[in-house]
Amino acid sequence: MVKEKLLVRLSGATADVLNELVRRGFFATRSEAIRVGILRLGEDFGFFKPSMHYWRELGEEIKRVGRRMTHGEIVEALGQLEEET
Amino acid sequence: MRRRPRRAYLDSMVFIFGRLEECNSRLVLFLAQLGEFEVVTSELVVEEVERFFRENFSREAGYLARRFVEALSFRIVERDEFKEEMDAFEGKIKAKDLENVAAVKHENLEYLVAYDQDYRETGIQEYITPKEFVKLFELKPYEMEY
Repeated sequence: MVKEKLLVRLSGATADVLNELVRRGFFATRSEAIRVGILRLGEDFGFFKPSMHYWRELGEEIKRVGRRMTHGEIVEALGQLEEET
Repeated sequence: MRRRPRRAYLDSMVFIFGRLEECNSRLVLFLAQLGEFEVVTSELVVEEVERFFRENFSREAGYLARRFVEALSFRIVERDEFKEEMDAFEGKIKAKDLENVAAVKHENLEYLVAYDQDYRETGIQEYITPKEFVKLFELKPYEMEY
């Protein structure tokens, strides 16, 4: 996962809006509000999509691959994943 | 009595079963997509979900699964944020569950949605199955617990 640590200096309207978003309880922290805001910008500019888009695309990709996992196979693969992690 | 949450932590299995089977985990994901509650996850969950779909389906499926988790999550807790909680719980719970529990404690969340009896056996109060979680929203769940 790509990680970025940023020091953002805000003042005036941007600082007021950010503080208000947290004060009113829309977000638990300012970092969280900034993170969601960046994703919204990504959506607006068309290089990040809402979750429903990825949900559908993933469903299509699973169909395309053509593998149907049984419940037992999923459980087994999950167990293996946990062990390896 | 347990109450409807504002936010909840979703274990990897919720994303995996939710996408692959018609089950309560799918209802949990739909509730999140409808904005009924906010999803909190961790780096571990993002990695596990991506890896599961990459190894069992395709590289593209892994990428899409990662993006789905990222887009749905209000907050993704990073490992270096909950070191204290990891230390506090190390040895008390199984290693495979440690990161999830530490992230839940760090975020002070009421619910850890998963289907894993180990959480119940180790007395993790926040543990709730997808079936029980769905009931909090007064939806009729499927028969299965997951």
